[in-house]
Amino acid sequence: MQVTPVIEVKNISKSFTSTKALSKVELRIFPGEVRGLIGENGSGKSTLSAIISGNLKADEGEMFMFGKPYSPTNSFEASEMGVSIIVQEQGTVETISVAANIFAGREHQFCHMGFLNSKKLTVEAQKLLDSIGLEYIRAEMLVAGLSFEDRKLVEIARAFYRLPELFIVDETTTALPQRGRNILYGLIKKLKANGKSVLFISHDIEELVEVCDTVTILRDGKLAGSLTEDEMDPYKMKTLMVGREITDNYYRSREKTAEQSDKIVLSVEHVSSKILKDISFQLKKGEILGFAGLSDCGIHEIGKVVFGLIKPEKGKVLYGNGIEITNPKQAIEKGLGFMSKNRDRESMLIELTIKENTVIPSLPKLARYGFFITPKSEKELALKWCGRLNVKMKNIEQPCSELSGGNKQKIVLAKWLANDSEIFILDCPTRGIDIGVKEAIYKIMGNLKSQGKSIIMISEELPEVIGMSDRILVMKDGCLKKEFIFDNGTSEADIIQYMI
Amino acid sequence: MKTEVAYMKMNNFVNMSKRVLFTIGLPLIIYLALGILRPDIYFKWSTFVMLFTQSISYAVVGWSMVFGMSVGLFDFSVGSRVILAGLVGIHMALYFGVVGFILGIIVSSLVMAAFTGGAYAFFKIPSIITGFAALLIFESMATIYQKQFSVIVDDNIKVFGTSPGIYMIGLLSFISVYLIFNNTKFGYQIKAIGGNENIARSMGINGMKLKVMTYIVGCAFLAIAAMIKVGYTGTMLGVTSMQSMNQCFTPMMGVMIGLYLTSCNPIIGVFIGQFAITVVSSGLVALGIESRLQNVVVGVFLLLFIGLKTNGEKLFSKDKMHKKAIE
Repeated sequence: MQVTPVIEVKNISKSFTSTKALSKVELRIFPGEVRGLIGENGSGKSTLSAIISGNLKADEGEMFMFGKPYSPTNSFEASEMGVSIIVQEQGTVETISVAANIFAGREHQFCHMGFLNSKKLTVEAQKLLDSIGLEYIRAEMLVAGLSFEDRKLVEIARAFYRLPELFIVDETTTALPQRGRNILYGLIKKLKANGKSVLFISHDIEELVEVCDTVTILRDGKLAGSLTEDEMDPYKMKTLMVGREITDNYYRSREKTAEQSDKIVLSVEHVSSKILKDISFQLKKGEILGFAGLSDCGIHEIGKVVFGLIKPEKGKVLYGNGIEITNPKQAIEKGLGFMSKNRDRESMLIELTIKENTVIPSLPKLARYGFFITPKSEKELALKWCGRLNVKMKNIEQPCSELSGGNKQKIVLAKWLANDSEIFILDCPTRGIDIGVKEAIYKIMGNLKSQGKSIIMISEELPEVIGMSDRILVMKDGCLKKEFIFDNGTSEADIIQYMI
Repeated sequence: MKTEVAYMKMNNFVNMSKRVLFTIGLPLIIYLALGILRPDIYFKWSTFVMLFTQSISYAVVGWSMVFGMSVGLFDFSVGSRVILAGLVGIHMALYFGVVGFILGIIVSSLVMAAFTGGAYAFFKIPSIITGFAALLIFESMATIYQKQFSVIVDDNIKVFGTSPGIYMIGLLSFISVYLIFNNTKFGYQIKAIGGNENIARSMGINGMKLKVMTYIVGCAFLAIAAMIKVGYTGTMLGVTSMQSMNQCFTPMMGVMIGLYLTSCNPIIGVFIGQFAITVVSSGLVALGIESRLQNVVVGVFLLLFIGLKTNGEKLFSKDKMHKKAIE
């Protein structure tokens, strides 16, 4: 007899502006199966899980649950239909109790004549916590009083109140201590024993091999393959994960490195923060220094610390001449420019015009008599840099919100170029942009290097880190794990060994 | 084992005592300070009773606002709604006595809340803008409407604002608002939306529906506040040029203090905050400080309180590293 899959995904495609996140993906998960899902950053894992859990809508394709059409409009609806998800980001409300979080949206179960029996709700929540080995978390406590790890466990408890038909774990284990992981593994076994299914997303290959029955590998939004328990081999999985062709000429030319000197333009000394642990490195004039690692390993904090946006708890960031950089204003004055991974919220005033965004850091330089800025000087500066970067726009008065991702990225670069920055911190410079603009940005980076400017490039895409950097620092769990000096033999597999 | 239990009980008692002391400490310190400056006024039972009674009226308005403010809504039409509801009540009392007064206030308050909340939901514009628009409409309606009848009420209406009626109404209001805030699905969801709307929505809570409900539930307490105000003053007068906002600023400050007073339940905190503000304001009158300066002092008091409450850990931490980490 043929078994009906718990969930069946048919020809699912999803695009974000010009970036294709998923392309005709198919997936079938059967009752009692623990399916692993693996792929590089940006391969479409989280997009797929978000579509299955109702957080995103697919552009094309259809889904079935136990053979019946399934198209949840939001995560709560999906959860009510039996699909629960826990993700990397915070999913609890800090200001209310653990019990209130567990039963949020389901309070009516504890209501009688309009009044909520908070004692019953707390007792029920505590029973649930006890039953899954979280007896040390008290249901009446405010979530704000819990550690990040325990908050994740509260989310897991919430998901387990009603045994879900499909439980999606989206890269959550990195946020959990070993004890929490063991609890989660125990719950997964319990689900499996009850004939329920799990979609387990993780970067930890050993963990996947241990937990999963089968593994599906995504690459560039497409299905790269599926392996059964017998076929699951870390090397095979890594090969399928990174098996794309890399065309060297796509990135910058490697022959000319004369512009790089030994002059130190920036030093980071023993920096520690909430995530970072004793980070030290130096940036040289004309160097492209790449940072590689998983998205939550601290690479993105590095950029913010260097630019003065995050104050380190220990250590310091020194400009070439020994002056400590403590805030963004000072960093800009010293010639630093920062492109955040979260471009629309942190690097750009999205509702303002191209002109305004381009000239903002340069206003002190444009000001006559210290305060007066002529419209002509603003216009000239904006036109000059938007022209050089070939920004596709109606005119410089166009709001940035109307631009494509790639052109927005060019505007962010233009604003730092207009300010004549010497050090560029580029966090995911090609995130969410199409191949054409990607190539243009790589070219700009190459030109900057040839002008003796220094670049810190933080990226979750290994091919570009390898393709663009003179030196690569690999990070894991907030620590620097390995330094690679570029040579033609450096491969993604070499780096992945230290990342995962 | 027994020692452990005893230790835990002792610990709980100490914590509870600290919380109680901190909660009542704020108005107590202010009261004692004023008492030292003007013992002839402040160390009299009648003064305390007067300030307590005044606080009830403001606290009820504050309780009507606590739901909306918990979810980030700022509605400045509250004062104008109290005035117009009071006028409708007075008008209805002329025909139907006390029953007409109560029903007139409740129904008109409900209609105005539905209008304001409905406009907020329909136009999806910030609550401050909706509130201002509603305020202008209700203020104008009140000034036109009050010309149609005598706005002086009979003694039977005054029971709502005099002893013991005001205390009974105050107590009933407190119990109701406490239960709604702490023991209903609505109250639980309010706290979830106020904590993080996006996460709460992903948990299946309908944010917009809940926000509109805060107008409706809040209007019940506004109606009670209108009854108390008419009973206390014996009349109700319409105002123009946004003067009705004065009636919501003081309760709003009380709510802010209440929501920041983490040592107690916010509903109790609103009353404590209200009492503190009333004591400060009346103290300034007693000390002969000019009325315009009184607002300055009340404003500074609010800034100091919330500033210290928010940054207290940073300001008073002796550990430099800890300070830096908090920053």
